[in-house]
Amino acid sequence: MSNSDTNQELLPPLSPGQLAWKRLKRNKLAMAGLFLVVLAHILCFLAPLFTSQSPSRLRPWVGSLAPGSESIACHEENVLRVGDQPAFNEDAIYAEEISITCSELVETEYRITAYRSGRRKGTIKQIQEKIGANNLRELNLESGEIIDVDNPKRSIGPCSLKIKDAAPPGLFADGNFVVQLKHRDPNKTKNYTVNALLKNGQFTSISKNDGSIDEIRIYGEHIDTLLFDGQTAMHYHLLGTDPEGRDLWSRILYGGRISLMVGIVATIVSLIIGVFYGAISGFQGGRTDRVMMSTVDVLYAIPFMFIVILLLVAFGRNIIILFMALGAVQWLTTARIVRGQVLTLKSREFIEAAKVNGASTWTIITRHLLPNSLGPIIVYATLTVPAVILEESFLAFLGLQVEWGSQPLDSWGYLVDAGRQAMDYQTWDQWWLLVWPALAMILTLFGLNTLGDGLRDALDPQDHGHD
Amino acid sequence: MVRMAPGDPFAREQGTDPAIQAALNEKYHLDKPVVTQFFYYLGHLCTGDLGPSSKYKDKSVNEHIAENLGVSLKLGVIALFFALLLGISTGVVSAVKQNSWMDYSLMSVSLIGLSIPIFVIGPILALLFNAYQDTENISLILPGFTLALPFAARIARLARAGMLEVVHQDFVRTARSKGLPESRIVFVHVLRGSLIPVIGFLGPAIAAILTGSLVVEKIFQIPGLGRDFVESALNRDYNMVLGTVIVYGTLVIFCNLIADIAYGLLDPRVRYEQQ
Repeated sequence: MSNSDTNQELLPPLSPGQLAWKRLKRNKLAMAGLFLVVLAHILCFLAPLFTSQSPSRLRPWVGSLAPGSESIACHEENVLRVGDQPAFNEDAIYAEEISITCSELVETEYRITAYRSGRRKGTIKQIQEKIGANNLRELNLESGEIIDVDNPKRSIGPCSLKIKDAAPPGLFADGNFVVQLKHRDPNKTKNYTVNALLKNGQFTSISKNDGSIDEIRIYGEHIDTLLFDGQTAMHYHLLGTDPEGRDLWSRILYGGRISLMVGIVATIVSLIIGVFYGAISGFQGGRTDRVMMSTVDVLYAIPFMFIVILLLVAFGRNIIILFMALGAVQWLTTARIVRGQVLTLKSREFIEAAKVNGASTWTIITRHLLPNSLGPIIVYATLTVPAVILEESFLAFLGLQVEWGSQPLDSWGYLVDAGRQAMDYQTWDQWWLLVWPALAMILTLFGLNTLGDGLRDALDPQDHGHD
Repeated sequence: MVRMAPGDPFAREQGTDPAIQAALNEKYHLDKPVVTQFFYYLGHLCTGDLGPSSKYKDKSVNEHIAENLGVSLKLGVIALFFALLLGISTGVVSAVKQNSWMDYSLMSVSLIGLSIPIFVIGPILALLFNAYQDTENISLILPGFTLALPFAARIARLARAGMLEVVHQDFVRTARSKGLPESRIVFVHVLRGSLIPVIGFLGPAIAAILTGSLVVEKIFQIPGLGRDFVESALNRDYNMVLGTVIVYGTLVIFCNLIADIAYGLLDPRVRYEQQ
């Protein structure tokens, strides 16, 4: 301690900023916070450098994979066409030969007509394999997957249908009714291999089962192996995937972009309002000050999230509206802090000097008062960002996800909510969907909070632990 | 009553939504100009009638709110109780043992508490206490506890700061020199002073607890007012939205009034200032 004291005398005097930085460096918790915050920003805003996978491309057949799993690096629909570039992923462009082995369940479509009227039980009138084919007398759908072509959401269990028998309950409405079913037979599969040669990243020839073709469309769920020059092409999922097969790591990084951006922009909005409100109130003093500050007091007690929700419902979930709404909610404390600063500063000599020099009110506020109250403003801004991120995640959690255009933006709050819904609380199945996004969010918020606390201590040593 | 105002402009905004069918429009006076609608509403409001709900056709908004308000109130009271209990006791302990490992760990925990969203804690707690969720009473205590945690963290930090400020004042030194036992000093002299920032925080806290209740009611599937509000806002059930906002507004004003009175009782300086 004494050592540093003597050093200080020898060194040139430090600016307030350097002093604060020195104090901050001594605070281990705050430095850990700073590290977390910087790390989160780098990872999220430079997301494409840290993940090659899309956060939004749906690959439903992949399903949710545990952390550390791999999946075949293909899309839901893969089109191979002579003369085109391969669309699998970037690596495919550098390959010279792509070979794919596929196995597809054989699908049969059926068309079933039933008649039902009044209280009479419906009877099946007609069963056809494919539209216009000959009638079948009986149809056994005891195994395999049965899909209602017109209404894929309707679930149909294994059933056996017979002409003139009763129709299964729930499948048919009143009157004449036609249901088209698609049946995937687990006992019958269609296997084939596709080989494609490339030159300069373009397909030069494609062959299916040794017969040459110009174009083929392969669905991801049918692909068994995918080889680029004999190497299996896989996606590695560090944190697993969600039920739609999206890579969780890239979803967290891209979601963090939204969360951090909302936090930063809404904080800036709140600073603009709060700083000028507080500065004007403090500088004018007297009755103006009293009215302005009691307005703030009244506004404090209003549950603002309700208003944000109403705004979002009324004007749509545009991200711009969200910035405005959250910013407009958060400026109160900034206004108070700035007012307090301005009140103590405005009686100082340099303000008097500026006044004597004929500086306008605006100049005094922007050139003299605000730069001198920058410290507390920075501290409070650091503490506002996590508050805003939390609020945005609240909204996402309540189903008021923000959108850009009509595309939903999956922020951390949304990811946590989705994980909460997907996780099975009895068996901890799919725990990664809740744990990783929540951890990302908690670490970032913790980092911001400790950094804000540390900055407050560093910039204003007397003012410990004030709210 | 001015605080209810934020609800009104949105009523006008949403009243003009064309998606609602003409027949319904007539029933709910939505075919009239918005200003007329507003006065219709005010007229009914004066008689305490919040109007019919456009989603729940069999119930009026009054009935619906009456049914669900109790649950929400109970939840809020439980949360506030836990927040104060946990927050003040943590704050007092860490202030008394300032700069000890206990202080540091309690304050770190409170920082973590501030950083974890309640919709993360909620499911985890629900998981831990799953076995107890059958009985009616427990099922509100756990959500209340969840809701309380972030506020407990805030209150703990405030109480600690308040305590530390008071500890070094003259009257505490006087009490010490009189030879009063330490426990009496802490609980009678210091605690009172330290509660002032906490009480000051109560107003915003009540507002924030209401906000939190939206989330907690969703996590724990509690049929409260918060869930209704979100649902009706998403469904554009205007009367329901307005009704809940008005009820919440009244509630908040009432709670703030109580907080202000408590503030005055605890801190005589506030009373002198006003005279």
